[in-house]
Amino acid sequence: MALRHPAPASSLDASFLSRIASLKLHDLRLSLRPLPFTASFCLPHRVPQGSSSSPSQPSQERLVVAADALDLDASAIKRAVLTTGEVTIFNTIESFKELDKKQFLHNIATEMCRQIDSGEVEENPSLLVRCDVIVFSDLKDYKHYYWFAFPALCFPDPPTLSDSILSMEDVMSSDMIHQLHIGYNGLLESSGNGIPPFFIVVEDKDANTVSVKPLSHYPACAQSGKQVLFGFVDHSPLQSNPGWPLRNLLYFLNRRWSLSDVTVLCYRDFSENMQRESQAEWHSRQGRRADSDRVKETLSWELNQKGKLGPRCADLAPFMDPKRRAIESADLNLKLMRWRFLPNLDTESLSHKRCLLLGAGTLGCNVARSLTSWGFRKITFVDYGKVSYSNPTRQWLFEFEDCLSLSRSDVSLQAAADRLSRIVPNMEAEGFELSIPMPGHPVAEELQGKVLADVAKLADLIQHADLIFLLTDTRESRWLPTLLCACKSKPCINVALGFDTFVVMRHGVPDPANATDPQQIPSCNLGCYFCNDVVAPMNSTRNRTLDQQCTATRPGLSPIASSIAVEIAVSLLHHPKGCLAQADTEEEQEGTDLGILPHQIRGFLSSFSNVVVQGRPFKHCTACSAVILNQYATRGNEFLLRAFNEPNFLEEASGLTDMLREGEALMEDWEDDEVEELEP
Amino acid sequence: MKYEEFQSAAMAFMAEANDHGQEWKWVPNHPRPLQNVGADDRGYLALEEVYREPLEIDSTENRNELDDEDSCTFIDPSVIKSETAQPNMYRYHVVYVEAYQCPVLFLQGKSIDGRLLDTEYIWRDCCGSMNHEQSWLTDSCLPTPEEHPVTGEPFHFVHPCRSKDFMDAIMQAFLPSVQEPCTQSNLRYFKLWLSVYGQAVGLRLPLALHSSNPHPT
Repeated sequence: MALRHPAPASSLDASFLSRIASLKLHDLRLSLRPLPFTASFCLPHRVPQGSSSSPSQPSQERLVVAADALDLDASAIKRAVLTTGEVTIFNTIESFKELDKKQFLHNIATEMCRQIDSGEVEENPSLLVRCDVIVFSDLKDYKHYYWFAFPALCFPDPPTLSDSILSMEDVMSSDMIHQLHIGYNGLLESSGNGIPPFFIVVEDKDANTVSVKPLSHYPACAQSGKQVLFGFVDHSPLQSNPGWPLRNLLYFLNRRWSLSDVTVLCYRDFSENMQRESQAEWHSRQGRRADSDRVKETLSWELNQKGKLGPRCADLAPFMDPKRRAIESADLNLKLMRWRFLPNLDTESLSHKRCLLLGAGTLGCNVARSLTSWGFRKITFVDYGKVSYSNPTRQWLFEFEDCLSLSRSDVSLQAAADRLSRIVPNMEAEGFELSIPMPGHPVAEELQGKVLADVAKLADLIQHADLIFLLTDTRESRWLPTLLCACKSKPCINVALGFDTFVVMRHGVPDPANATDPQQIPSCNLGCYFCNDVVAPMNSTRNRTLDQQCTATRPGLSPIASSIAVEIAVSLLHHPKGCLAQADTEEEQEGTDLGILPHQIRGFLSSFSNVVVQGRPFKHCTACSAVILNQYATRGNEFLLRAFNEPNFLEEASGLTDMLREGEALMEDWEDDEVEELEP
Repeated sequence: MKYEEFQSAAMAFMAEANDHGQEWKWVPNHPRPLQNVGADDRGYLALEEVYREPLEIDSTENRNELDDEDSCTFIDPSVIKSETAQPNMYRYHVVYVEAYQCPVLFLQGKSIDGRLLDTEYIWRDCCGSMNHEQSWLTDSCLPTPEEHPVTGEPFHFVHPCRSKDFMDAIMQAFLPSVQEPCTQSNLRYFKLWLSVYGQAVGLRLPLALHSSNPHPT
C-alpha cells in the first residue's frame, strides 16, 4: 500500500501579514532576505467514527502561523509541535508569479539534506517539518497574496506501508502502553518549548518495559540490540493515513541511518476527550536507499481554497483601509436611526439617488452638507461664474484660494466636488459650469447655439437625476429648471431666501389623474414657485442696487432653509407616492414615518417661526401650467427662445394677459358699482 | 457598571459557563510596547474557537488575479484532498471599555486558513439566520469593524449604544422576588446581556446557564 497523506493546510493570522507588510515597508524595502518564523501544528478535531454529531469542527491538520510568529524567542511555551520556516516577501506581483517554484523547493530540500547529513536533524527533528511561505503584499490595497510550501523529500520509489495497521493494543500490553504515555509525557517535560515531532520508543520485551527517548539516541539504542520503534506525533485526521511529516521521517531514516524497513508508531495526541490515544502502528518499507547525492523530487505546495495549486489572497482592506472604515462608520451612524426612530428608513436607497444641485452658492453648499449627512453619495453641482472673495465664509465648500481662479468650472466647482469626496471617500461628486438661460435675458443671434446647448445639457442632467434642488440666486433662473422638471415629472425642491424669510417647497408634477386628453400633459398636483405670481419672470438684476442684487440675508437663514429642503426631500423619497403625494398640513396628514410631507414651508427668522402652507397649482402659471408644458412639448426650442427674448411672451402664452385683462374689466365694473352705491 | 464589577461578574460567569462545557478564559491585558500600552492588572473574557459551518458562496466572487497558475508539475500524487468544507472560526471577547463604562462584545471571524471574514459575510452569517421577531436585534447589533482595544487586532464589535435602555427594561422584567446582593445582580445582568447580544452575532450560551440557580433562596 502506497503511503498517502491528507493535504497539509496552513492557517495564517491576519496580524502576521500586517506585521510583515510593515516590515517590508520600513525595514526590508527591496530586500528579498527571507525572514525566519515559527509555526505550530494545530490538532484537528476528529469526528468519532460513525457519528456526524459535530460536523462544524475543522477536520484538517493545520500549521498555524500566529501573530507573533516572527518573535522567535516568544516566551510563551507552546504545547505543540513547533516548526520553523522562512517567509520571502516579493517586490512585485510578477516576480512572485514568475518565481521558479520547483527550483525554490529544490533549494530548500538541498538544505534539508545537508542538515540530515550533518546530524542537525537528530538534534532538532523539527527541521524535517519545516514550512516556507512566499508573499506578495500589495501595500496600497492591503491585499496579501501568499503561498505555503511544505517541503517533502521524496524517494525515487514511493515508500509503501504494510497492509495491516495494528493497534497498540495488538502489539503491547496495557501496562506497556501506560509506560509509553508516561515516557511521552516525560519527553514533553524535558523538551521545553515545543514538542519534538519525532522520537524513538525502545521496547525491552524481556523486561516488559517501554521507554521514550529523543531521536538522537537511536544509534546507541540500536547497538544495544533492543527493539526500536520510531514515534511520530501524528496530526492526521484520517484513521488510516498518517500525516505528511512521516514521509520526511522515512527519508531521513533511510538517508541518515540506511534504514529501509522500520516500524513507526503514530502517536495521536488528541486533546478533545482529554485522553491520549496511540492506536496505530505502521510498518514501512522502501526498496532502496535514497540517493545521497541529489534529491530526486521535492513536492507539496499548498492548494488554495478552491483546491487548486495557487496562492491564497487575504484582503485586509475592510479592516485596515481607513477609507473603508470611514464609509462603514458613516453608514452605521445612519443605521442607528433605524433602531428606534425609523425602522423603515431606507438609507441604502438614499446612497444611490442622484442629486442635482442647481446653484453651488450658499444654498448649494448647505444642501450638499445635509445630503452628505443623510448618506446621499451622488451629487452633481451646476453653477457658473467666479468665486468671489465674500463667498467662502458662507459657502463652506469653497476656500480663499478658489477666489483666485478665473471661473468656477476651471478649478473651483470641481474643487467643491473634490472637497465633498474628501469628507466622505465614497462620495461621487461632480461639477458642471453651465449658465441657465433665463426669460427676460435675450439671446443674441450668435449665442443661440451655445444657449441651446446649455438647455440640452440641463435637460440631460435633469433627465438623469432623481432629485433636483433649485438653489439659484435669481427668480428668473428658476424658470427653465421648473419647466423641465415638471415636463419630466422629476421631484424638484425649491429654496428661496429673502433677508430674514425663506420658502422651501416641493414643486408639483403633472398628475395622470388630472388627464382628460391622453395626448396632452395634464396639470400638476401642486403649485410651483411661479404659481403665486401674476407676472412672468424677467430680468431682476437690472436697475437694482448692490444690496438688492446680492442675496443679502441673515447668515443663519441659508443653513436652516437648506436643511429643511433636504428633510423634505428625504420625506418625499420615503412616501409611497413620491412627488405625486398630496400636501399634508398640520390638520390633514397622510405622511410617512418621518412625519408630514408638506408642500411648502415659509420661515420667518424675525419671529423664529415657520408656517406650513399648501399652494394650489395655478392654471395660468408661466412655468408649470398644462398650457405652458404642452406648448414646450410641441414647439421645444423655438418656444424657449421666444420666452427668453420676448418680454411679454410667457404672460401671453400662459393666458395671464387675458386673465389680467378680464380682471381689470371686472375691477372697472366693480368700481362703477361702488361709485353707484356711494352716490345713490 | 464599574470595571471591578465587570471583572467579578465576568469571573463568576466564566466559572458557571465552564461548568456547562463552554470554555471561557480570562485573559490578562498584556503590554503592547509598540503602541505604548503599558501593563495593567485588568483583563478580558475570551471564548475562542467557536466553529460555524461556512455559508455557500459563489466561488467566482473571490477570484484573484493569480489563479489558474499552470503548475501541474507540483501536484503531489500522494496527497489526499479533503472533500469536506472546513468550518469558519469565531472568537468572542468581552472587553470592558472605559469610554462606554460597560462591557462590550468583540468578535472576529476567520476562515480555517486564517483569513478574516469581512463585515458583510459576518452580517449574513450571524444575522441572516435570525427570524422576524429577532430582526430588531439584528438591526441594533450590527457588528462593525473595530480594533480590539487590548490586542489591537482587527475585530468587529457590537455597538453598546442601546444596551442600557434595553437592559434596564429586561432587568426589570426578570426582577427576582427577593432583594439580591449586588454581585448577584451584576452576574444576572452579565448573563442576560451576553445571551441577548451574543445571539445577534452567533454566540449561543449553554441553555443550562439560565436555568441554573446557584444560590437558591
